[in-house]
Amino acid sequence: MTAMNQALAVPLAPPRLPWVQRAAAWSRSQLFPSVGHSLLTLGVLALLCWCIPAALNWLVFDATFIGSSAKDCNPGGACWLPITQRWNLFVYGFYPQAEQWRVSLALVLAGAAFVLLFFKRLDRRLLLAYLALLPIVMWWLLKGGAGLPEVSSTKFAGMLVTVFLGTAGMIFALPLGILLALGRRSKLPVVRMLCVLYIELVRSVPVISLLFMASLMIQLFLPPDSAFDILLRVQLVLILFTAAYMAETLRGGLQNLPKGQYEAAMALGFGYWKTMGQIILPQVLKQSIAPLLTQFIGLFKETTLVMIVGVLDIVGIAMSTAVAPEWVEYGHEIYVFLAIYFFVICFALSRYARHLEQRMEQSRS
Amino acid sequence: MHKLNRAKLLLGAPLLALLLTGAQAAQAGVLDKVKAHGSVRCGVAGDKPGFSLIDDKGRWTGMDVDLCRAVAAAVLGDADKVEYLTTTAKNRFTALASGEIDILSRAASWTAERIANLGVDFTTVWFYDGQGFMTHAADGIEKLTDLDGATFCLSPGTTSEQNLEDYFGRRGLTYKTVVIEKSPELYAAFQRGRCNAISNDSSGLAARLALMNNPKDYALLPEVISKEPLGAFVAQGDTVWRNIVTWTAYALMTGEELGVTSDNVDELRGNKSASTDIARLLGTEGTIGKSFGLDSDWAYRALKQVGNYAQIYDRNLGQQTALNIPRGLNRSWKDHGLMYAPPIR
Amino acid sequence: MMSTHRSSNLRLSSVLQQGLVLALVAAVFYLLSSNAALNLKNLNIASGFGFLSQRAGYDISFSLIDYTPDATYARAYLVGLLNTLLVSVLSIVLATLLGGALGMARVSDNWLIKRLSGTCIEFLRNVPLVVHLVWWYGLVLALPGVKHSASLFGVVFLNNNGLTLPWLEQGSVVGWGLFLMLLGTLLAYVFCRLKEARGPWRGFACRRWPALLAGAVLLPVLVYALSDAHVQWEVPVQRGFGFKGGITLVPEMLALCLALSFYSASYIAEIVRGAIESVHRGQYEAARALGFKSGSTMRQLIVPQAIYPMIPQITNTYLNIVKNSSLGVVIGFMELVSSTGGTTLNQTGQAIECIALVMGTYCLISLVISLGMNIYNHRIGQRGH
Repeated sequence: MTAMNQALAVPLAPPRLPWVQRAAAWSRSQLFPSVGHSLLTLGVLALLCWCIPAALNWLVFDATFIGSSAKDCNPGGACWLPITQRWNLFVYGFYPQAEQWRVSLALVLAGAAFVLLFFKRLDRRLLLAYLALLPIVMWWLLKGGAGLPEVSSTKFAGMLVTVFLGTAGMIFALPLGILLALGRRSKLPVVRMLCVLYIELVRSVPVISLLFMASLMIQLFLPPDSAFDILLRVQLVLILFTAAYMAETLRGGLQNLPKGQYEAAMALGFGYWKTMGQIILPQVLKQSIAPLLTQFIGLFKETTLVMIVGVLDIVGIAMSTAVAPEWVEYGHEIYVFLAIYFFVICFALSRYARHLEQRMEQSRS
Repeated sequence: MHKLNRAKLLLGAPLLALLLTGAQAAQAGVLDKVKAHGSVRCGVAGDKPGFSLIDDKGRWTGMDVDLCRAVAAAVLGDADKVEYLTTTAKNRFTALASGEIDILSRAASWTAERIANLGVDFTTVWFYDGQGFMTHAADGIEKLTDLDGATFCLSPGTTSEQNLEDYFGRRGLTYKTVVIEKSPELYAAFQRGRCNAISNDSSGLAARLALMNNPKDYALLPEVISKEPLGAFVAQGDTVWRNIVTWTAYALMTGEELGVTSDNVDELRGNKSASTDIARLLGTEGTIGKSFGLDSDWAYRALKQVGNYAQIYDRNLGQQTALNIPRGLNRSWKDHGLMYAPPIR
Repeated sequence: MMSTHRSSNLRLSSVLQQGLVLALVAAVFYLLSSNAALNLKNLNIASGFGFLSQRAGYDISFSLIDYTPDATYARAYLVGLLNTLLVSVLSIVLATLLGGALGMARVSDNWLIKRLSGTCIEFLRNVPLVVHLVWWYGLVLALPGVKHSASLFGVVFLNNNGLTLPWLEQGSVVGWGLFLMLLGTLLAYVFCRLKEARGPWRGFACRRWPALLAGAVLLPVLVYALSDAHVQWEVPVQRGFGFKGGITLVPEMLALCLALSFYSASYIAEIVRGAIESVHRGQYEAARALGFKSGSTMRQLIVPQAIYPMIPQITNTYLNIVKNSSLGVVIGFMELVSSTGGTTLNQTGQAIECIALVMGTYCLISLVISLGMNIYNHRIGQRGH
């Protein structure tokens, strides 16, 4: 009996080794599997031990965070004064002091849109309504009009511009991108050709040439004496540009949808637009949230180019700080700040996108 | 020096003749536009300390700014009725020729080519300057010829490029150029080491040196390789307006010559025993103002609200300021300088 | 009967729809062009491409061909185009090497290397290209001055004025040399195909890469030996604050190349990683069963299989490098966009023609690269991958 029990018994899991032995086993297999690898590991460790303390010293321990002018800067470390002294300029641009709460509110509302994507059980219609209203509310908050004092858009600069261009650009580009993606698969040859032409044209030229088009050419195509703000022109171009890339992202989604969906819709007697609106698009959009978020990260990085046409985003403000006579010597600190700023935001967003994607795959399987 | 004085007289004489023959029979010109608009549109650089600079609170200061203010005081009665428009080295003359601005007060040099080709007229020299060079002190450069093969930072569309080509070409030396449009970026490129020397008007260089964190790291070269008579330009063809701007400048110089300042101008105006020169300047005698198309208090207002040339210079470039540029050629003719205003009579 | 009626209805409605779309597009075009004509007339701006034969009047700091401010705008355009191509090619090569190395490090067995390269890739990817560019420009400008240049064997000099290399005295020789190398490669390829076509068991099969390389090198050498051409190398010599002779790659160009390379290397690394990870696990096990060592497994077995799926994505990255070279305008490097789309446009005022020229050129480059990729893909697909 006991022999049978023993034969049938599930073998016990080996006893867990104490953590020291586990760590030793792990490092032997992961860090020192062979002679070559061991040398490499030691070399890299030596390099890190040399670089990281020196970098931390310069960045944090010997750095100057508090002060009022260049004379307060400690020469052995980084001088973060150009950024701390001009922080208002970096975030709010030239916005009047009294109205800056409007900018903060607009930034918070834009950030809330990302948080909303997180909630699975949120009603789709509510999300769409929020996204549709967001640019209008932001524009009202930032520009003024009904109830709020007006602020000229020449005063928009810094983080304010980046967030505005990114959010409004993405939200307006989405319907246009959907139309283009659908048009590309259309059975009508004229529509298909026009969409393909547009998408391929926009995707083969650099963004800068499109921005130059916005700042120099668009004015010529409008009736004379119509003054069109440079910010709006740049926004228009960014929307047209993002829509083309979005069309490509959505095309993949549309192709990967099982054919059964289209056939079922046809069997139920749905027309083209009804099929798209109620069956196909909701599924495609839901699956494409992660790629679309990646697209947003790309747009966020592309908005740094607008300083070339005179719209000062955060990079533009940073550059004008770096050439001011008082802070010319501290260009390196300003560039490091920009790198850290973008890294933190873009990395967080990309992790978020990956998390959403994994959650999507889990719910599917 | 004598040659220049004669040149000044030769310039002054035809202008006077024009005035006396009543050349104000011109059509609706800039003067009427300014009166209708209610302010003088002044094209300035905006980033040149001592000449035209806007501070954080939005106040404009500088030599060029003060000239426009004096014109506004003379024409419209109030020195603050000026609209400032920033122009770059590339678009400054086209803005003037097209009528976008009334006066180009941007420390631009008076050259034959500009008068002939650009559709603009010169008024009078407001500041005598020359093209100078600034280098890094660590390079140990003592004279310009040490810079053979060096890279120069220049701004486009100015006389600097041509002057440098002439100087270096004649001596068989080579050089490379880095051309950047905006002044702050130009200086930043030089300070970061992109070029070995930067060339600009000496006044501009001194002004920038005063703003730098460590001026000892830089050195100004002794050579001044060109004549740069700086002054205000107006659009071509409008003699009335040109006379107004020119003679406002002369009135400020005359004020220094006669000892009239913004503090004592009221007293001198009321004083019956003041000299005839002062009386004619301040409008209590003669009808000069009317011949220009202005009222008799034109010079009085300019002197009272802005001050005479010495006061303007001290306020912007004097010893109390960070720039501290010695007057040099810009002294009054009485002090052996070149500031010589034709008599206002 | 019913079906033909329905289908003719459908055809009519589709024709109507397309007609409507076309009419809309035509109306928009008409509106825009009439506005444009009116505006151009009001602003006194000329039309047409005649400006290309006018004097340019501006200097370009780096140019592969002879250029002075007295040259025409057309020549300035050519100089810009050559600069764009040069920067793109250099960046593509550097990015591929860096990206390949990073990608291989990312799939290494060594945990430290894997994590470190992962962090590097994330950092390089999430920082926008503009920030990369100004960062590298600041670094390049912080190099020591000309009088304290770092030099390699006394012929290559690096300082904050750029990288100075020896160059050929007559610039045109380089053009001829490149052309002959291309011709040699083409002839070698044709030779190989002919040899293979005669049957794989007749004589030896032509190993492609060595043959192409031989063709690329032998033909120019042959032509040089047979002809009278005299090739003279110029070694740069320091004179005052500059160098006499040789060619100097300006700091703007160095910064642009480095920024583009490091930024794109992160994307290439991710592509390489994805391709290697997509190779079936069974391959590794089979290799181990056959007694392959870890290193040669990678080299001889995994990597060749991983190359095929990489190609479309890598071509896309190369295309992005060419497009991103337009960022030269940020630091004042005269490539295509900043010369024709920037200075030429400012001076002539003809915005539409200049921008159309720039965009058309990029479209052409994209087309050529995509076509090349399609042909290569087709070829590899045919060989039954």
